[in-house]
Amino acid sequence: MKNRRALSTLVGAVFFIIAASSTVAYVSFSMNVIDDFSQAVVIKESIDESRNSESFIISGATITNNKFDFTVQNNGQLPLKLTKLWVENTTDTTWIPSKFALDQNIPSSGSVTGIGQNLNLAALSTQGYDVSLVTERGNTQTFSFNSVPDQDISINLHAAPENIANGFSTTLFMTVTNNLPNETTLLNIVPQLSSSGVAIPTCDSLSTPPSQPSLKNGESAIFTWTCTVSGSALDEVTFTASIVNGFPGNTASVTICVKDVLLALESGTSLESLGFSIPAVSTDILIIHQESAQTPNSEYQLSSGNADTTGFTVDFDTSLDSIEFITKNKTSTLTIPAGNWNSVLNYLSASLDTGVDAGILTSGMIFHFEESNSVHDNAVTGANCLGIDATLGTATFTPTYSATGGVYSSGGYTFSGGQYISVNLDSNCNDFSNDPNTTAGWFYVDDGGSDGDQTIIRSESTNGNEFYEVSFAKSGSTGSLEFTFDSNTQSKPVSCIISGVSTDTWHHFVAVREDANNCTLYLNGGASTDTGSDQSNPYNNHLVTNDIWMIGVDPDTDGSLTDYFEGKIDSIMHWDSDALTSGEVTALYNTKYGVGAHVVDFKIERTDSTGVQTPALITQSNYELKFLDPLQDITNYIHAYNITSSLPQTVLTNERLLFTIDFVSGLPFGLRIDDETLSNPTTSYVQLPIPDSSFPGYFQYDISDGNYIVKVSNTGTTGAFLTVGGVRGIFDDATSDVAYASVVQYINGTTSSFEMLASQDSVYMYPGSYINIEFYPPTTHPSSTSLGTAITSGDQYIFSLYLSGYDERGRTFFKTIDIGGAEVVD
Amino acid sequence: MFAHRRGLASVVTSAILLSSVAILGVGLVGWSNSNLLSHQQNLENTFTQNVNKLNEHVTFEKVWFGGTSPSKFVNVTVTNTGNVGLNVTSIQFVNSTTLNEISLSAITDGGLINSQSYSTEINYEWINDAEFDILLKSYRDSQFRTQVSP
Repeated sequence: MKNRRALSTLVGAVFFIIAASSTVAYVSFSMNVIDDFSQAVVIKESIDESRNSESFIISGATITNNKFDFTVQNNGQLPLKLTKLWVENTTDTTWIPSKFALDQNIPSSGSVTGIGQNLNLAALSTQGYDVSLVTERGNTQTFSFNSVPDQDISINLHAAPENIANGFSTTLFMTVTNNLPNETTLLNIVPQLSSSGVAIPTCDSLSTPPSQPSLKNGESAIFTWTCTVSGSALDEVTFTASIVNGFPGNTASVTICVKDVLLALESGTSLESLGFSIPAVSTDILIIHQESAQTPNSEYQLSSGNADTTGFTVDFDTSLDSIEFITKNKTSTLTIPAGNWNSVLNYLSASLDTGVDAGILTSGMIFHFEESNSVHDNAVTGANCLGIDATLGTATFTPTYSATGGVYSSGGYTFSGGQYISVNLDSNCNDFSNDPNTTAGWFYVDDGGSDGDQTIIRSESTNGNEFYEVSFAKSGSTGSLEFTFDSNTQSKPVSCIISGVSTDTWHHFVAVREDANNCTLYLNGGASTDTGSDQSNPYNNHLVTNDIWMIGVDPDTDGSLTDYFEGKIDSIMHWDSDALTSGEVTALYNTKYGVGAHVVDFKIERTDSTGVQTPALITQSNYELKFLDPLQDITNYIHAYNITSSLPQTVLTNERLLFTIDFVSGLPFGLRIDDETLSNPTTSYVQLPIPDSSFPGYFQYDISDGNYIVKVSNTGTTGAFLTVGGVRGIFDDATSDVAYASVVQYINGTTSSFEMLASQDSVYMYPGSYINIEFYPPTTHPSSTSLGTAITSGDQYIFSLYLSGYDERGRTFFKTIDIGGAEVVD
Repeated sequence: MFAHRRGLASVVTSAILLSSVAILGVGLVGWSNSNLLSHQQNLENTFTQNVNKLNEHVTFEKVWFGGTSPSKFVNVTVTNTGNVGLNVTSIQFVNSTTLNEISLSAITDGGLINSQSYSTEINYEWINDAEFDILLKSYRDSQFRTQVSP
């Protein structure tokens, strides 16, 4: 038994060792696993920390060579690698977002430019983009380039000052703040400015600065423009600022008002805020003046001086009527570069050709639809017709306006079947209570429209049985023009019908209701004619309809609208109590109420100093001027039309420019010249390519005369006094830095009673009155004792008058009148 | 006569005892080792799964909205920015406020190696300014969420 004890122990020990080893191995393995897992966690945390500490921004963004050019700044502590660029076009929604691979390392605190230049992607400055950059660690940042995300940002617009005198400047300040709720950075913010109103602004073409490369959340940028505003007193212009590709409606506005210093309550403010005045007329603008003094053959003066306040109308009625306007000659050479010469004519057309019955102007209606208005005034000037309007149908019933869609490229309306224009009816103006009547107009039937009856114009009674109508019965590419009227009493209509009228072309109709029984219908001036008669209904002259005309639809007053017109209708005219003759119909048809209303011959010539002409620079024969509707006021000159001539470079040496307009044919018209009260458009003028020096004016000062006299009118409605310190005549030598000026001696007289002194002001200038201002000779040191250097002869001067004083209410004023080029002779 | 039988009984007893112990011991050790090995395997698998799951990371690289009713869609591009490959199994749209599921799209081709991207278009009648969450799930049950707004 001694041997058994030792063997058992050995066996037990072996098993113990084996078991212990297994256990130890397992425990060791477990510990290693735990350790590995801990390390994995630590590594993961490190990676996450690196990812979270990554930081970059786009510090600059622009478009170079039609490609994106981003500058990316690494703001983090670790280097990063850009791996992808996503671009989404937010302006063009058909664009599918595109992904581009990048491989750009950026060290910590470093930056890289030119990202996007090597991509096959064109960028447009007019489009907005959302740009996303992706790093290797998976971080992404999105930026808005050239646009603003789908919500407003803060935009403010201010002006300093908001009230200015005519021709003075104001500064606009636009403040843009990125107040988006998220952390979006806006790139390449480009401001834009628009204006509307009666006053005319001239602003910097680009803001200062022209753009903001990057605007982070919370940051602001300020953009400025300097604008010069011209206009009459109380004219306003509203400026609206926004961001290119900004959120629709995200704008800011400010309104600038022109204050006439002569009448302004803020005259004091104007004195403080104004420096040197800016000439109201630039060197490339020559005004047509009504004066003819110093012109060789009594032509009208053409010079850069301000127009007068009285104005003048040149009538063109017959082929004998003509106008010539001529510049002053200049001894030194004046060069006009090649380009367009625009003669901007402010005129009004006569309502009727002289060969047409003028009764319509007293009682009737005329609608030429030259402007896009929801309500058109009747152009008839008779007092009974002032309340007659043509009103467009609303919503889906509104016809479509086009500035050139009417007859002869005039303004007009297109009816697409379902639209109409209504005209109210007045018993003293445009009803049918008595005969005769005449209705005329132009129509164009759309060949693609529906076949059947289409109403051009109609008026009817409540039950529809009593009516007066001009309509077109379409059948394919032709149809019949029909004129029908009927009184209710006998239900026996009188009709005139012309068949075979083609579609897709303009036609003129004149429908004459001679009396109860007879009608005549003219097509295209009488090219086709039909008469109709029905003796069986003696009551047709007592036609009584509802208080409305309808253009483009049968009103069907006891039902729904029917017989819609599909095409165009223009120049509707109605004589309330006249029947046009065939000759008048022809004359009316030949009147072009659009381009070609007036035909003129236009010529530009150069002449010597005495007005002897050389071969014409340009001759334009039978030039067609457009019809400019006077509406109800033949003195309301609110339209202009250009005669544009393209000329090569023109050099003048002691020569003049002579412009001639000869009336050839068409409607009479009245050309308005020398009228400073007109602002939009202004008085008639000529605009040339900017010459190398200013054109000479017609003001002349003879040194040998010593003193000189200038006549000035008070154009305001307020009387005023002038003070001795506020009246000066200035001669600016345009070829050097020298200027000469004169102090005033007398106003409106030559005795001591009229002398201007510190203790004696001028006589009272009544509104609308003229005064004569006598100046001492001009020198470089204006005085009454001829200090300084006297002016020398020459034609290079620009003469201006400076006037200041106080008005009848005690308010100060000052004003500068630019006379323009002046010649000093000896 | 009985003095010589004493030596043989001891040997047999010892042999039997030894054999029994050996057999039992071997069996026990074998079972023990087997058990340990099994636990070791489980531990290794668990570790691998958890570490891989830990190392999964997905970035929502680009989400954009397109189409017009009734064919609107959401285009989702994701990138595997982790250290291991993963398998995208579903993309879910969830109401940001109520956390209710809006739509569920099962993904069958979402296997991504490191740095690989995956794009898919999911039909959804999105509404302007109506935000919602996108929830992406992987085969290892990792979830990644982001909020978007058309």
